[in-house]
Amino acid sequence: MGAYLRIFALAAAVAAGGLIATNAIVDPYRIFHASAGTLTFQPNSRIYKLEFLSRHCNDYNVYFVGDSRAHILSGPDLEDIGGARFYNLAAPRDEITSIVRRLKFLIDAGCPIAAVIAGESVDVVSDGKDASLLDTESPLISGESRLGFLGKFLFSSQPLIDYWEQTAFGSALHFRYDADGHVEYLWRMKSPADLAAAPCRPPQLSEVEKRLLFLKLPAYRALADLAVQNHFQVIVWITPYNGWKQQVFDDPDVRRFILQLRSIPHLSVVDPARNSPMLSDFTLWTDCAHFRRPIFDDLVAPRILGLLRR
Amino acid sequence: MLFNSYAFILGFLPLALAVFFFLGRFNRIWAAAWLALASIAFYGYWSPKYIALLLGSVAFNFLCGRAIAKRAGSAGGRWILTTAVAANLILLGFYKYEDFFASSANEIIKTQLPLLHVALPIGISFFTFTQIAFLADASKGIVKEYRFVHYLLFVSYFPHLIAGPILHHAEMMPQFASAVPYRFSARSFGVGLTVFAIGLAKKVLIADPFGDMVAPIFTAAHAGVPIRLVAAWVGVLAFTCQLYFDFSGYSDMAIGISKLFGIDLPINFASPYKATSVIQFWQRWHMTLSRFLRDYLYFPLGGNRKGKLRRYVNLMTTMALGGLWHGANYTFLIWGSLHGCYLVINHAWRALRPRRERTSFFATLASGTVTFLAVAAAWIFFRAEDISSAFNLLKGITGFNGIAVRETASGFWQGFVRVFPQVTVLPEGAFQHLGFPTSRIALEARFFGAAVLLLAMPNTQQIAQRVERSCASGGASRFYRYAVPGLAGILLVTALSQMQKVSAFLYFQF
Repeated sequence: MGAYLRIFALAAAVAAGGLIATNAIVDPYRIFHASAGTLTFQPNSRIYKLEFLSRHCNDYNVYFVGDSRAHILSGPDLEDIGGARFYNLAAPRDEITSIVRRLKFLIDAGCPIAAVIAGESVDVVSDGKDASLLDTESPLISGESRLGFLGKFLFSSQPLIDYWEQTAFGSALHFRYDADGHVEYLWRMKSPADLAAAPCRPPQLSEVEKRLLFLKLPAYRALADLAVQNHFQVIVWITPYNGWKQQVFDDPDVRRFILQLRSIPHLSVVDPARNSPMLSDFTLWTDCAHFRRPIFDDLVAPRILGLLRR
Repeated sequence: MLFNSYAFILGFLPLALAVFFFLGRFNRIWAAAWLALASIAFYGYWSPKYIALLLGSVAFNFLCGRAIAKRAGSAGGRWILTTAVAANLILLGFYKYEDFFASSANEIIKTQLPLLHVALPIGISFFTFTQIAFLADASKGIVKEYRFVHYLLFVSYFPHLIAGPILHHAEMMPQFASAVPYRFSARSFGVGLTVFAIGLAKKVLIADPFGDMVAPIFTAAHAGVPIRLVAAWVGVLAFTCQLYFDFSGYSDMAIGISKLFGIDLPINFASPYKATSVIQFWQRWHMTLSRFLRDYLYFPLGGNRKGKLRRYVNLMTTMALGGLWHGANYTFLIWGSLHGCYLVINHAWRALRPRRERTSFFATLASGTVTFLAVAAAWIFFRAEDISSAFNLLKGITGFNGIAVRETASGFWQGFVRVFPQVTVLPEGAFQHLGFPTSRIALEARFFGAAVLLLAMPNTQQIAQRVERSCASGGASRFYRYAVPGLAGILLVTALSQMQKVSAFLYFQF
C-alpha cells in the first residue's frame, strides 16, 4: 500500500507542476504579460490595466473609471476635448474605494492626471470580499504578498477553462479589449423576444447593499480631496438605467445617496435625464444592465463636455 | 470550516491527523479526546455560540442514556426515555420549526404568536437524531459502551457532525474502543485519500457548476418569470445532478476523512439514480436517514405488521415527517408526501404484480426512466422557494409555459422549430441570463458527463472496495493498484485548483 500512496503523491505533484507551467505560459487573465493589443477573451482588467499603465501612463491624462457600464467608453465618445488623452481604467464590478486606491498609485508613480470621469452605478455595491480571480485586485494596490498572489493564479485551473471556453469553443459572450482599455461587448438585445425571455427588473437593494452604497460616500470624498491636492477634475455620472429599471431611483435611500453625493465639494455630478425614449429602446441596450454607446453619447457625454475644463 | 476549503485541507486536517496518530502511540483515550476536542473546535469555527448547546445536548443525552440503561424495561426507564426524546424534539422544534409553526398558526387559526427568527444551529438535525437513536437503543438494552469520551466523539466526530452520515452508536463506539484506528495504516490512508479526492471532485468540479445553472432558473421562477420547457428541464435536471453530486460528494469526503483516521463511516449513497423503483431509490439515497426513519419511526408506527392500509398510512407519515425534517417549509412537506405517495403506489404495484426474477432490458430501462423522472419532478419542491414557484416549474417541464429554443440551436432543435412553428426562438443572451454556460457545447457536455458518471460508472464505495481488495490481495488488479492512485492524485489537484470560490454544501442548511 506504500506504493499506492507514492503513486498518488507523484501523480498529484506532476499534475500541480503541469498546471502551474501551463498557467505561466498561457496566462489567460493577462496577469504576467500586460497586453497593449486587442484581446478577444476576458482578462483581469484591474491587473493588466495597472501593469500596462505602470509603463505607459505618460501617454494618458484623462481616465474613465467605473464598472462594466463605464468599460465601453473611449476617447471618441468625448472627441471635442483638445489635449485630452483618454484611458479606460474601468473594470467589471469595480467600486470607488478600489478606484481611489488605484488613482493614488498612479499619482505616486508620477502619472499625469487632468480629469477623472467616474461612472456611478447605484446597484453595484461590494464589500471587496470573495472577489473571483477575474476581479482580483493587483497586489500593487491590495498589498497582498507576491507569493500568495502568484500561487492563487498559478494554481487555479479556472482561468484556463475560461480561456479555453472563450477561444477554442467560440463562446457566445464575446468581448474585444482595445489598447486604450475600453471593451466592446459583441452581443446585444435584438428583438422584443430578448426582453420577454429575460425581463429587466428594477434592482432592489437589500439593507446590507444600502449600507454598502452609503459607504461609497467617504471614498468619493477621498477622491475629491485627491483631486484638489493634485489639481485634477472629477466628474461623476450616474449610469443610465433602462426604462424597465427606473424604479431604482424611486427608492428614498438611493435618492438620499445621490443628494449626498452631489453635496460633496469639488465633485461635479451628472445625473442624466430619466425620461428619454432612448432608455426604453431595447436596441440600444446590450442587455438589461448595459447600455450601448449611443445612450452615453446622447444623454451623458454633452453634459460631461460642458463641465470639462478645456 | 468547509471540507472544500484550503483552511481545512491544508491546515485543520493535517494537524488533526498528526496529533491524533502521535497521541495514539501513547494513549488511546488521549487520542480520542484530542479528536473530540478538534471536532468541537471544528464546530466552533462555524458558530462558537452554539458550542455550549452541542456540549449541553451531549451531556444531557449521555446522562439520560445511562439512566435509561440502568432501568431498561421498567416504567421509570420508559418515563426517562419519553422525557429525554421530548426534550430533544423541543430543542429541535424551537430552533428549526418555531417560525414555521407560529406563522402557520397565525395564518390558519389567526393567532398572534411571535416569530422569533432564531438562527438554526448548524448540524442540529443530525446530532439530535443521532442521540435520539442512542436513547431508544439504550432503553432496549442494546447499548454496550458508556465511556463519555467515546460518546462525545461519537456525537461530535467532525467528519459527520454537520451533515451526516447519521451514525449509529453500535457501528461507532466499538471502533473508538478498538486499538485499530490509533495506529497509522497506509491502506486506510490510501483508500481515505482516494475517497476524499473523489468526493471533493464531485463537489467542486460537478455540483458547483451545475449550481450556477440552477440558481438563476429557480430565482426567475420565484420572481414569477414563466419558465419555458427547455429552461425548466435544464433547471430541474441540473438540480437533480447538483444535489446528488453535492450531497454524495460531501458524504464521500466525510467517509474519506474518517478513513484517514482509520475509522469507517456507513455509506450514504449507492448509485441512487440507477434505481429502477422508488423503493429501490430510498434504499440507495441518503441511506443513513432512510435507516433512521425506518428503525425509529416507521417500525414504531407499526411498519407493515398491521395490514396493508396501515402500512400505507405509516409510509405516508414517515415520508411526510422525513420531508419536514429537511426544513420548516411546506415545500419539504409536499416533497416528502410526494415520495410517500410514490412508495405507496410502488408497494401497491408490487402487490398486484410480484417482481419477476428476470426482467427484460426494456422493462428495466422503462422502470428506471419512470423512477428518475418521478424523483426529478419531486426535487422541484425540494429546491423551490415556495409552492407557487414550484408550480411555475412544473408547468414549465410539462410545456404549459410555452417552448423556447436557443437561436444557435442546431440539428434536432432546428428540425423541431420547423415542425412546431409556435416555438419561440431566443437569443443566446436569454439563456445566459438563466445561468446557462457560455458555450452550448459546455452545457451539453456537462449533462452528458453527468449521465455517464451517474449511470455507467461504479460509485465511490465500489471503487474504494476494489482498491482495498486489490491492495490486500497483492496484485489482483493492476488498474486499481497503479492507475487509480494516479488518477485520484490528479483529481485531487484538479479539484484543489478549482476551489477559489468556496461554496457551502446544500445539506448544511438542514
